[in-house]
Amino acid sequence: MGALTVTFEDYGIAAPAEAGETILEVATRAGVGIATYCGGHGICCQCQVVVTAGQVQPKHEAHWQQWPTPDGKGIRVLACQSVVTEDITVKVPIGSRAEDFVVHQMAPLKANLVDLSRFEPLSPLAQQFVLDLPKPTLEDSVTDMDRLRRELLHRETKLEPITIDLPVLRELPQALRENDFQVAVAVSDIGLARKISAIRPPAAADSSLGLAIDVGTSTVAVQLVDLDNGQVIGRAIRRNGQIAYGEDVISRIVWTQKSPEQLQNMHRAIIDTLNQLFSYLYNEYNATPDEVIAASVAGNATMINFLLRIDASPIRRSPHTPPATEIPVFTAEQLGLNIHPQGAVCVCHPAVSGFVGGDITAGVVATGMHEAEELALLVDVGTNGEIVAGNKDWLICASCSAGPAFEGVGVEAAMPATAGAVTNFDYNRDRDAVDYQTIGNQPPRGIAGSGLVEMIASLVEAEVIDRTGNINADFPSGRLQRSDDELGFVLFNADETAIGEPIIIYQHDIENLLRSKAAVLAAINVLLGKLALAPADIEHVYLAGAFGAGLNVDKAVAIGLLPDIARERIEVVGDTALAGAYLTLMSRQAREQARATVKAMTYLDLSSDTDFMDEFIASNFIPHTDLTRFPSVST
Amino acid sequence: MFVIGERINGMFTDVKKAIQAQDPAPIQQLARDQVAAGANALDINVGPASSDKLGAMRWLVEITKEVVDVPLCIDTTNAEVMKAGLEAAEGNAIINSTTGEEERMEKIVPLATEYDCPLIGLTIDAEGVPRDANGRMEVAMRIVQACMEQGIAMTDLYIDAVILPVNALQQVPQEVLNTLRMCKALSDPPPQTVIGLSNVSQGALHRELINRIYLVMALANGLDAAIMDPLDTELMDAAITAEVLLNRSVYCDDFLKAYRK
Amino acid sequence: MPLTIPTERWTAHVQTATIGATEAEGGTRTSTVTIGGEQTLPFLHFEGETPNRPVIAIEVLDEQPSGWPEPLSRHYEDVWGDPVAWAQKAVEEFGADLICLRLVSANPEGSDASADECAETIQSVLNAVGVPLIIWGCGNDDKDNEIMPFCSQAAAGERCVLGSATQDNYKTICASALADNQMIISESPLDINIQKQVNILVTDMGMDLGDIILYQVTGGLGYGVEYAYSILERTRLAALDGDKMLQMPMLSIVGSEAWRVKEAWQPEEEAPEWGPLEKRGIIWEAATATLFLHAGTDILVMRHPEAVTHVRNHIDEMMSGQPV
Repeated sequence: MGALTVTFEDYGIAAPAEAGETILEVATRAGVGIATYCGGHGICCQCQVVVTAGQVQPKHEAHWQQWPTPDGKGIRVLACQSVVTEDITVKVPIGSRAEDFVVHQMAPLKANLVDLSRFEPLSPLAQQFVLDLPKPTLEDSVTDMDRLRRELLHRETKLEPITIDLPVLRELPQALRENDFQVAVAVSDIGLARKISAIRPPAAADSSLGLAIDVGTSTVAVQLVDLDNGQVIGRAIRRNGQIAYGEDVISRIVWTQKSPEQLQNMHRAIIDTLNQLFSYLYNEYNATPDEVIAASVAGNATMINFLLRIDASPIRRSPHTPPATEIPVFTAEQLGLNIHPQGAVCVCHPAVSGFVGGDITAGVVATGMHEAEELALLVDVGTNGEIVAGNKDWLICASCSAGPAFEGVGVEAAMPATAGAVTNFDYNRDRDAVDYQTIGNQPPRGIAGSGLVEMIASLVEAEVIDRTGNINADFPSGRLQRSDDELGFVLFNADETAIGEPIIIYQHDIENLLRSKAAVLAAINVLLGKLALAPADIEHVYLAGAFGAGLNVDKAVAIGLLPDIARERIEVVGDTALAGAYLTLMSRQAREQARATVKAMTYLDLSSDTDFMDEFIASNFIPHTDLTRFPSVST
Repeated sequence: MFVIGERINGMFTDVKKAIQAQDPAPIQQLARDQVAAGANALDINVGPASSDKLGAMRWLVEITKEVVDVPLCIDTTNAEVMKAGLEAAEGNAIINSTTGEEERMEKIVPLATEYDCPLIGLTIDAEGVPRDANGRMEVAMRIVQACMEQGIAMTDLYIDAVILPVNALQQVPQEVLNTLRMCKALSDPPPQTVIGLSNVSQGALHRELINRIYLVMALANGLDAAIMDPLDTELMDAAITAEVLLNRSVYCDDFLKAYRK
Repeated sequence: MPLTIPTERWTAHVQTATIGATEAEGGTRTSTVTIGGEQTLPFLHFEGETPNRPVIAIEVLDEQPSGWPEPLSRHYEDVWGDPVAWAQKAVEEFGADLICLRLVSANPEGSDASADECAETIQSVLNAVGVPLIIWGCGNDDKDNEIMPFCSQAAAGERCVLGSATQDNYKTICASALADNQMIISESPLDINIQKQVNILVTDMGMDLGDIILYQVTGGLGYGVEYAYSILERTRLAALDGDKMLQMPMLSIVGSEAWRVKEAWQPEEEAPEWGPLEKRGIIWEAATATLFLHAGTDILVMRHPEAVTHVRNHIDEMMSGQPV
């Protein structure tokens, strides 16, 4: 292809370019979505990008425009008017992104994770009561508030104490009288009390909706739920808009310390991401923000603190203590979330530490491992890579900063699990051909998390790569490529893909993936070692995170992502954080269990552990330098 | 003022979905709603919704024609798609648009004569969008000449001075206002003027407010037509009020209602 | 070198209205009157079509008037006790295109005639003449609201014009017009904004644009006609510019206003410099009418037969399109 390279920093994509092409043209071909409404004529000015290295030439000298950058580095230009004549590096600001930040539908969660029958009776985070209040008279002249309270307690004595916020109190007299004292009252469970959050005409009670939210570092997932019966109405996922400010929590914390505005920007990025997800769900399912009266949020400590616009920098510095791990219940309008303004927003899952957050607590509650006899291991392969081991008697957790390679960030061929993503992959050496499956059975656009696992397993088996992850330069196939100084392997030819370009895995991609999986395996091994347990002692492994249900767990063990444990004990569970958020949205019991679980969990800090470093280096091998640990994996 | 409704554009999610699903209902509802809100013509733009732009344009024009009678503004940069749209509209159309570039004018201006319909001319030349009002006027003059040569009446030509987003290029809205005024001195009778209003607030916050204020400013500087959202009631109210203040429409107490009758 | 006359191109034109219904149309009129449809300012035939000529309605009162100057009264003394005879004379002898019947007898401060009596008068006049009818109340809102439904009903099917709807009192007359398929006069106190507002009110009630005739209350020559002219002209310009709420044909009341002025009745002895009394009123009426004609009026309501003749000749000339 082209002799030049445009590196899109935020995407980890080095796109080939011809001299004379515009940045927009290069980006479009490389699958980097840059917004444009005028077809690249320099009219809508939405395709602004920052050139951080190298020079660009103006497409039209006479009408060249450039702007200053927020941090003073590089120049800000229109992608459609900037011509590439040498290698350049480009950052694409969030406001200029198109396709990448599209909201996608999400597959349902596993039934056993969201089984509400464990928590009967239901007691959702917010409920609506239709009340027919006796009107005030000379004989019965209690205050409006007491009248309401009296009637609510009539319905359910356990609602005591009942409180109300000023904005709702202001509306109370009018709302009662306008509706002839027949009203639908929404009541939120704020832990220490019940709070009246809305007083509306009785028809409002026809629809009580709630949201279960997983604020992941890379991916945010939301479920719209009917609070009356727990039915899930719809689900959606989207990349976390904070990615532009850093891929992982540390780099994001560093970003927010540049200036006070940056914390505001970081906060805005997640609020906008969430509101966009909500809008999608409202449109798809004909709901309105006013119907949503509660939201349960799961996320790690840094994500939660940014959501609430709290300075999370103490997490970065030793001894890594977050500002808070148990969060009081807020109202939506305090955060700027587009649900009912007085809707209760509950971070129902406290974090254990700065590094093992509420999302893991949520995962524990969802899997039920905290109530089970069996010894279980929860492995969440997200950006942070947390693991929890234990059962109803004890729980220990650790985190290993795995990196988002399996979620599709930093690996050119990777993509989120949406239409066209390869989920199963097998390279047949004899035929020099690939057998694969994609989501939606469409031509491949990229590789999803499970596809990446299977790809590595397959390539090592076919000896395309060796056990250290190096691509074999002498491998006898036309798929072998050399680009600059790097080897790559063509997984799909241009005519096989949906994007008109081949899908290639490069050496540095494999290294990224290996590093991620090594961190996870090392963390598990060190944790088990400290407990004097062997992998064979683990009776149930819950593999959560960036993998769909279709993942072949054999391959996960084969590459050394997980220890060599009997395959039937390994269960791929998907987004356990979201499942936990759903359970705590619907049940007070689940909320209490979440709090109790945190108190029961002990955090093991691996960052200062010498064993961990040794294990990590040994794990950077497929499956591990010590093959005796993987007896069932054929070599 | 001449209102061209902008909503039937494939860059809007609802329109995009309808085009992809070949579902006429949402498009037809938008057509009806915009005309009911006071649109004198409707812009039809396939946007990024389909790779078969020609087929999609034809389809959009046909289903819109079924429910409204107003002229359809065929919005595309592709000459073939333009022709397809004009054919489908059976002449009850407006050509949106040509630029001031020679090759484009050669292809597009004759279509105005062939299909006997008005034409929008963007003040863009081979160098792109001119920096200031003078630059725009130079291109406008060329477009006026090309039209006169083809015998197109100035009342059938709309000069679009290409408004750019205020948050990116804050000096441009003023230059466009100057251009609008200067256009009236181009010839006698002078060509009409039009702007794509929503672009002034592209990427900014408080879009409706920015659109509303700028439309009024432009009307005061002689704007004749705008591609805008007639479903934005406050925007329409502002335009109607501006017309009364500029003595282009007779005041009566119910002047907001009068316009809509 | 030939001079090119710059022509104006108007994008809209005046509404067309047809007053009166023949037997085929469900009425009993032997003639109908179609007005409006102008595509440009009055009589500029080189610029646009004037498809319908302006018409003259002669005023008939339903009871004997008093104080009319002799040059006028001498033509009506033999009939002015009998509206039927009066109407017949106006049509057969003086060539009225329409009759404008004023129900002055209904005035509560005068004869306070009942609704039934008025209805009967209308019926008789309709039976007596074949031209279309304008039926005007007595000017007292409450009494007019009482009689109008009956009057309208009496003329049902005849496509008459009922007068008048004002900003403060329009509902009853509209209801009657809608019920009996009549037209209405939309009245304004020489204010273009109020004229437009009244039209909004009546169209809100369901009146069709084609069933409305505009009426500005104007004085005679010497009594603010320049202003009146400018209002009528502005209305016509707005119509041609596309303002639907001002696009209807216009009516001016000329006779009663012109004969009211001093110049029409002051005896020669008291004002010798004004010339013969014989001529003064006629000239005054003819001049006033001509003025409003050139402002855009489509229906002139007049009195004196000679003034009518002068104005009709003038209309012939202006409509011929030939230089005079």
